[in-house]
Amino acid sequence: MKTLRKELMPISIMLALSIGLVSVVPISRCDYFIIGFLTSACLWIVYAVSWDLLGGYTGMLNFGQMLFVGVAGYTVALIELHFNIPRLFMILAGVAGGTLSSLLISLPAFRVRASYFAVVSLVLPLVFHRVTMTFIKLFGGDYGLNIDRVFRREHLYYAAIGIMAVTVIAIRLVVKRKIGMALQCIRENEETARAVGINVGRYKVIACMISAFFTSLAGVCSFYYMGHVGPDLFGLEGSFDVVIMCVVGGTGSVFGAALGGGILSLVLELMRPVAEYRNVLYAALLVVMMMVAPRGVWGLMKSLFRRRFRNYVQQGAG
Amino acid sequence: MGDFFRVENLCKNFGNLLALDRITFKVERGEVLGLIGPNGAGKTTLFNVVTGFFRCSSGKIVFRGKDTSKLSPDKLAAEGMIRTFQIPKPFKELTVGENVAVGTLFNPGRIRKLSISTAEFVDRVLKGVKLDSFKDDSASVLGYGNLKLLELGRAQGAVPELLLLDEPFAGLNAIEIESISQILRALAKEGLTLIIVEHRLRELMKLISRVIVLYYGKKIADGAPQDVSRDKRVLEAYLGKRWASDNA
Repeated sequence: MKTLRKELMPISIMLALSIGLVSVVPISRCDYFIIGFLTSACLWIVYAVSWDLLGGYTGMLNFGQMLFVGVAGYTVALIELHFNIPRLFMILAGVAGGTLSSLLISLPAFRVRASYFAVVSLVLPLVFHRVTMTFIKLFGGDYGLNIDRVFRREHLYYAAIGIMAVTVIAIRLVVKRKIGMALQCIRENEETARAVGINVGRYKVIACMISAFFTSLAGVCSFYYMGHVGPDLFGLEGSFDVVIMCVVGGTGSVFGAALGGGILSLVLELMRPVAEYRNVLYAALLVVMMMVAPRGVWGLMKSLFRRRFRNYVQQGAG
Repeated sequence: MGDFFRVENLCKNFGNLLALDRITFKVERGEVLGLIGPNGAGKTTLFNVVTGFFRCSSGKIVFRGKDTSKLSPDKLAAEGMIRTFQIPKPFKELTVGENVAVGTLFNPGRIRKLSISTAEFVDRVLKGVKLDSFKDDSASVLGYGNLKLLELGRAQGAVPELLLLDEPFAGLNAIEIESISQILRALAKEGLTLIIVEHRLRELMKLISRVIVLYYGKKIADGAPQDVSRDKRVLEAYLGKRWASDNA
């Protein structure tokens, strides 16, 4: 409860943001273009914030965050197409599938160092890609799996807002608690973490599960919004987008990642007319970020604020 | 509770290389034991095996009546066996205070026994290692000497019952060594059991009550510092046969 009280500020910010986002629906008279953009922005923010729990806090670079989205999406799609059970169970199964798929990355990487985790996370989605392209009858090959619209788009938009708000607050709470301390210690030095009594393997698996859980939740939402899940999710592009979002926003900070997710969603949307130059622009953006703000936009904002504050203090003293 | 810490016939081989050859020794509670030997004698290997970073090939390690030879480092830390590293390995992005507090946070059982609050305990440890003025600074601002102190503080933060120190004096000057010696003496006075690997023999001998000498993976001497330093086999190990016989 003490942590909850300390987090009053971020919780109220998220609440205000959510109300603002919800009110877009009546204001825009339910403009599906705007709603579509904002839905995907919310989901990207979820992916980025969940990635940051691994990449920013634990130092486990995950180059396959979209794997969880893909597994969750395919799970729900397959159940939708082949079984007739209440939809709530389908959603739960999708989230469970995506969450458990994190074990495929975290367990092999259990005993080894962060760099091997990165390699496993890079390769595993490609395996899934292969699988979906091989068993075409089941997974639909290049076309993926498609279903008819079952939820109204604005309802899914509300869901996306909810998932985003919950994810940001939940991960904030996670990193401020004992487990967050464990994850940061693992990032700083695994051996020392072991030497002071932190069960490194267990905390890594837990971190992966938490990250995958929220990503899968958003993935299921994304599947229902688009009515489609395809093998492109197991490609590198989406997962790299998530990494770039966190680098731009600032790793090791929930709000940095969220900010990066928001900014890059906008950039992605604006770049749509010149989509073929996307990678060039991304590369340029990355280089500029590394030079100007290696700790991301959030880090830059923080240091600017601090500098101004310090000047103010010094002037006050002088 | 006959035995506090006991190692029996401990062996460790890396392929064909026998790094530890049937090592057997005992440590009583409250003892301050030195562990010395020329380069490559197996001191650090013994450390890594005892603290769970390496698995022993055969033999037995008993800590507080429990066979710990198959436990991982974090389980051993939970049992109260804490080590430091020769090259300081702090949590750089955390503050100095947090570096100490981590151990306390993950070993809540033992701090409860001390019946003081975590915050008080951390302050006491920081004062003990003379880093209280850096409490809220990031560990990355500390210089080498202070990092060595922090390494000691970080280990104490985990409320050890048995503290294993891997070359606490390495790379320090005489004044810094004296300051660390004082801290270690204070810990020993509180009744903490220490095992110290060190190359700086002159400074080490002033601290310890007993010393074990390793040479090519074998234990060649075990006893009071003044006796061991006159032992023929030890002199041979350090100086070579000819020099040893010349000086004897």
